[in-house]
Amino acid sequence: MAKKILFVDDSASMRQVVGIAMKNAGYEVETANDGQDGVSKLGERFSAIITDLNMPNMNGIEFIKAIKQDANNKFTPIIMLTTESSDEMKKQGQAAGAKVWMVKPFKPAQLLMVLQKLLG
Amino acid sequence: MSSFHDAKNTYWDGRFKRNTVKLLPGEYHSTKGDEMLVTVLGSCVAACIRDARSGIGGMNHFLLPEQRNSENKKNFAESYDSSVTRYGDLAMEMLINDIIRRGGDRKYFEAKVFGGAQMFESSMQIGQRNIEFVREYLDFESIPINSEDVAGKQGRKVYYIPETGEIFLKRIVSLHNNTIEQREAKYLRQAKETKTEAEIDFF
Repeated sequence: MAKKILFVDDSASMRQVVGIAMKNAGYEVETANDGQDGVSKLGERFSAIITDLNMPNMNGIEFIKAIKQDANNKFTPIIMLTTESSDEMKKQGQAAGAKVWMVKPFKPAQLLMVLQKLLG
Repeated sequence: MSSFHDAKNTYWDGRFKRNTVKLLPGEYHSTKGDEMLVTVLGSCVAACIRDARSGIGGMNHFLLPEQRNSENKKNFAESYDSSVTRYGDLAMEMLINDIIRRGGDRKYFEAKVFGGAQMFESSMQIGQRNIEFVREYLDFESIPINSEDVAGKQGRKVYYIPETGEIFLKRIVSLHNNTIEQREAKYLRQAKETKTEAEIDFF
């Protein structure tokens, strides 16, 4: 069965970019518009979760904290995909429970490489 | 590293009686208060975006360093494989993120687009491709463009007040100096060298 990835970003263009790249690589993809929307999708267990940082309603850091409280996804690897590159933000992300921090812009192939590394 | 920076250059504009932030190519700035933003455009474009309800908004100033793949009928998402699209996407996302960070709500975003002039013969396509990119991006993000003043042969000086959404636009008839061209050519060289691959940290 295909591995299912949750991708959370408020940008429609990003959702499409990442959606296409992952589907082409054989993953199943669920998307959400912001952290709050992402939380509403946590009813099932994902193989990995990729999230943006700056989003309306609930930002990426708060979203990661919510994932860590979720019985289904407590141990799901989380990738932060953001334009933020400051060490301070990275520290916050790491403390919240992110496994990988990727700074946009990115090549879709780079994201696939990271997923492969995390999921084998 | 991205080559986009938050604009830092501010002055008091006596005529408009507002604190004003001046944007250079490769910069963006957003504001929650009563600041005014100003920039001078040749073939570059500026997207002015604001939350029409709260008045939180901002502006960017950029150009695409090269021709995009999308000229071969690829859609935005597919052309993201090209570094040029990634560069433009970053210019737009840096601004949008900054507005959201200040409390702007995407649902109420509206945009105005300026620039993309043909400053000299060879720059026709540069201006045009910048205009097309911004329109395509905003369309993709469902952000309506409620006014634009683009293309043509003259440069523009654009004043934007996000608080009210007002624009004051002056056409620049370039007679003796080519400051705009020189500034944009310098910026174009930087844009071409910008890294469009991700830095990745594994924790």
